[in-house]
Amino acid sequence: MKLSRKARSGIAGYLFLTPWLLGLLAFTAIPMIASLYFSFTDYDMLTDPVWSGINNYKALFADPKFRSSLVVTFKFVFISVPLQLAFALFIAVILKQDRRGAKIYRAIYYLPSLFGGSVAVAILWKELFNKEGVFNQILGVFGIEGINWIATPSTALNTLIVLAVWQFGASMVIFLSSLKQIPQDYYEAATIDGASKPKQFFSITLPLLTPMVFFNVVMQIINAFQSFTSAYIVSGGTGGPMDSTLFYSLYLYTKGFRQFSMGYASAMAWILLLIIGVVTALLFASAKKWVYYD
Amino acid sequence: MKKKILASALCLVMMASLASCGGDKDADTSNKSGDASTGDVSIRWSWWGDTKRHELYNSIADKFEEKNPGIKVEREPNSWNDYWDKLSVQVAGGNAPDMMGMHVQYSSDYAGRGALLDLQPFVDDGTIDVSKVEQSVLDTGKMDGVFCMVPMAVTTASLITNKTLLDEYGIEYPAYNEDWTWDEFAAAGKKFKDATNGEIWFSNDWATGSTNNIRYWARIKGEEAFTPEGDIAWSEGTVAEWLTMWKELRDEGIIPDAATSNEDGTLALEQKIFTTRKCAMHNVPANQLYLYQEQMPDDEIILLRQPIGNDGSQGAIIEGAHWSISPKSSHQKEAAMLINFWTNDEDAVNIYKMDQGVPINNELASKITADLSESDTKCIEFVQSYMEVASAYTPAPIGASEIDTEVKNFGQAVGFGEMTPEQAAKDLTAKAKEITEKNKK
Repeated sequence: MKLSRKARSGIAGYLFLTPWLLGLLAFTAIPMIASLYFSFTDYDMLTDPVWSGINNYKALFADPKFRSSLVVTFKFVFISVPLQLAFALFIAVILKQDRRGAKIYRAIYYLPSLFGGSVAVAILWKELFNKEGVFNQILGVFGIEGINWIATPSTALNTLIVLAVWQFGASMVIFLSSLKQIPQDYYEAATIDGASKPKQFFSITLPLLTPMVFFNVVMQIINAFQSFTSAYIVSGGTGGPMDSTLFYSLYLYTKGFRQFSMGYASAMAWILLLIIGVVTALLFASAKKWVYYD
Repeated sequence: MKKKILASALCLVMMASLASCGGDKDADTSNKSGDASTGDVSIRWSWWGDTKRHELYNSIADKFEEKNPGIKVEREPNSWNDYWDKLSVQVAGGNAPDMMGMHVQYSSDYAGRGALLDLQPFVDDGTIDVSKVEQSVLDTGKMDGVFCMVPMAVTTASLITNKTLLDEYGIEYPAYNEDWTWDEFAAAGKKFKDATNGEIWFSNDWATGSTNNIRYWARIKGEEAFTPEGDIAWSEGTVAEWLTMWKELRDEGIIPDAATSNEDGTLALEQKIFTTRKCAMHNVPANQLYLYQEQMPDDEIILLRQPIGNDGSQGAIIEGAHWSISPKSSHQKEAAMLINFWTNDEDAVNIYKMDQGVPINNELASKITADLSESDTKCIEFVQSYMEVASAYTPAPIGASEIDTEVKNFGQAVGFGEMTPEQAAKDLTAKAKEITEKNKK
């Protein structure tokens, strides 16, 4: 059979897509459908799932740990994301100037993000904020006796927030590239009109950057809601001390894989999807008010 | 042309990365499942441990293959945490290892859900020989009356103790085969704290430890942790007393503050406060003695018994991990042969020696005592004498790992001063009852 040139290139296209499509089906689509089903069952992974209707969802709303893990996660998201973005923008503005060696600095500031959510960096964090850690040794120079930051309930979450803020590189690179696209004439005109540097920043730079701020906020919030690795490693998988770092996804993982409540964990996963969906929708709705496209 | 080459190259890379996802990186041998042409059978053996243990168990598997031509053993060594995360998924996916390690913290969760094979038929047909094993030891492998686990070895809880430190500050302590009461323990702690000006802690904090600690204390009080029917058997008052006792020790500076204890729980052996000489005693299973002694060559490390009640009542239990077989295994017989090899083969026992405690085959256990290291000799003497007063316990019901999490959490709540011992005891007991009820239906 002879196929037309067009049909052949179409098939070739799908063939090239196949690895990705298979991945989507096997690792995303099918598991998601399965988890939706499991969320309505009593499923311990070792015996067959038993249909239980909305029992899991009912149990969730009566579970104090579900609530406390939500509180921890919301705190983490709404403190770490704004801080991280503000920091990323600050560094991006500084690095924008084409000084000598600027490229090297950009690379250096991006480095922490390369480590990403890696295990190694979480272990490093643990060592930094120990009782005997580097941070306390620096405090010691000033005669302050530090506490055990990661093992004290009131400060453990803060160390994880600092860790998240430190990994600002990805947002910084995006800010940096869009900063460079702002036409220089705006600033020249503003300077002639006598606008100060801060005034220029808030009246020219920031409004023109809002599409990128919006993009970064959405991406980082979605990421932050799903944070897992840092809390898992730093707390030794427990979310401790006293559940102060029990992120939503860590609790979900514990329920599913440690306590054999996969049905419950699946219900949790769908609630998280819902929460992220609602938060993202709210952001999009608010975008009209503060995002400017020129 | 250039584009085409690039595209095919990318495609290849993607395929390669996909293919590597499926590979089992932990498998030590290249043998996959049975080779039909030669009649070879391949079984999978999974365990938890550290590098040292992986070396030992690999050579045991080698020996087994050597003596049983036609059976290949695929090894799946894991760390403790990874082991349980992986096992639950493997069992759920229907590809559980043929022979797998079980621990009291999880065994009820598996046995109660039918994930462990009844091994009695293999005992009856002689595949697993238990004639040299004490009945009380075998009984620890029974869940709900079904013999589904063979003990790896027998061990007991202990206080590994830095003798050098205690002697340096003139503290008295009993011999390895003698008991001491809680009052004597606390008094020694007070004296040690004064002698060291509070620079070194006397003991680690047991109140933020596992359910086993509450079980031990409940037994001293004439109770148990769980009933055979799977209910909570400890009383609120008993737990309150336990938490109060440890709160007093903490407030006096005899044991570390809660933050330090919390951190210590997540540290590797070589970083623990005991290993770094900031604490003189640490409550762990006796078989771990050699691991600590290796880390601390300048100190003499000994084993002491857990204190008894002031009225002389014992709380000690027979502990130890177990081997079990998956009911889904298609080579149950071969897996049973490997368990038998572990238990009764002299070469095997000579390789693992005291790694899990005293070997359960009495004859072989007395044979290996001849060429043991100093710390292994101490351990075997300690466990054998402690075994005379220790007894079997009622295993936990389904939900044990969840209860364990709560025990730690409420212990910490008292430690951090967020709750009074009475309140924590009340809430913990209620929570534990809720968990057992939930899992009964």
